[in-house]
Amino acid sequence: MVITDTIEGIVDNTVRYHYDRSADVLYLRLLEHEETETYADPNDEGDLVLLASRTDEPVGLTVISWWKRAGKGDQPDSITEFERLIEPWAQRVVK
Amino acid sequence: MADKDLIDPLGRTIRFSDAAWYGHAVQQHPEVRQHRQLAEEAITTPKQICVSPADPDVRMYYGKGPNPRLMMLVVADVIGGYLKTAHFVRRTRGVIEWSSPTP
Repeated sequence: MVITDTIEGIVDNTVRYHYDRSADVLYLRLLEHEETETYADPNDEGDLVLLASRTDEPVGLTVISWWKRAGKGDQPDSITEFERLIEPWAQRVVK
Repeated sequence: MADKDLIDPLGRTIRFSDAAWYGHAVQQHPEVRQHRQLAEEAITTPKQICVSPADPDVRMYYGKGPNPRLMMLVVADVIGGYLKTAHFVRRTRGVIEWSSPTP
């Protein structure tokens, strides 16, 4: 039996995403800040904004219960569909 | 380290799995890599437990951090009984469900 636990990719050569399917957590990080030390600041929606430790600049976002909140029904079994659903969340990091 | 079942102050069991810790939380938030014990203690002896605004099944466990400026935040699903993620934070957020008794 095959279990796909993680889906990863890059959006617009700007944001890396890492989706933990088991825990339903979507991790987003600006590519230019992949090695930046961060701390998290929980926002009003319950997600964790990643801030650079030295500058407090936002560099990422950890979305809690992403599919439970953003999706409908079973998780998509199409990569294309998955990419389409990820993209607006990646844009939140870029802004 | 092996998977562990941790009990929070309200008697709920949270499975702290190697897969969730090393495979996802540490990989994406490498700052917490050396602080697994703090993460486990955030569940068993937290300073505060808050209900996550994101999901009513999820709790945010705030525990002692590696220095006075930081707290360890562990996010867990208390209905499914599993770790979702963890990171360091400088402040708490969310509706308080439980606070450690003041001495």
